[in-house]
Amino acid sequence: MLEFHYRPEQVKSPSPPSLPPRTKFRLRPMAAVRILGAGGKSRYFAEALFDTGSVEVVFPWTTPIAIGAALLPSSGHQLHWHGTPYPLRFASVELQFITATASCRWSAVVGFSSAPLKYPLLGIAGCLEFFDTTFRGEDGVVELSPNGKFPGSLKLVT
Amino acid sequence: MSTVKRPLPPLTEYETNRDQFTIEQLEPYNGQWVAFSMDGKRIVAAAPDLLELDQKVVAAGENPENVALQFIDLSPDISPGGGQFG
Repeated sequence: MLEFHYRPEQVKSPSPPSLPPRTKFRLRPMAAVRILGAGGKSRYFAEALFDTGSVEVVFPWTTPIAIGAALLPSSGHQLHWHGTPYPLRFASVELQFITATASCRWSAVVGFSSAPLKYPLLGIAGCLEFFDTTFRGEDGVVELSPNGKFPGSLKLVT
Repeated sequence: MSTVKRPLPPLTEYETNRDQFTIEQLEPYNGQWVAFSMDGKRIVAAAPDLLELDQKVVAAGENPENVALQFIDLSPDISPGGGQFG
């Protein structure tokens, strides 16, 4: 099992009514993730958002260039972000989570978009579909356990 | 439904150190991608986009594969999460 602390995000003042007055930070379920291209080059994003509302995994547009990942032919799909459509291209990559107690790595076809993403989205296809996930809201911890669909490797740190 | 309190995992070294940065220290980088050292203790470089950030990381004598990339947004709007795919 992999565990990730929710990560703090600053709250714009005044804080919304859903939060206690003068709240400075809210916590969001995020994880550090490494994305690897076919040639072994990679980039490490410190905070990617576990997003059950996103059907795809999406990284910033320039990531394939950085990691040497070959884009698949355009499928004509788009990501509508805050009302604006942006092209969405896909590539085969590997993704890796590393925690203090375990690491896992698996292959996935993920999306890349020029939408102004502030963090990669860890959506269903290519990520969350491979894990049984528990959002421990009180503790601010996300637990991920690879499930029967998980196509990669899991290593426990002893 | 389990009521057993489970222990919290430890914060990573990166998280522990990264959380020490104050708003004032991050303000100059608001709206930019930042490359932190992997231990979260220092900022290696910052740039408006990731390609320029890569160049600055290399210019700083560091390997772009061995930095932690993070976008700094100190006044985020409420995000509904996800996106509409079509």
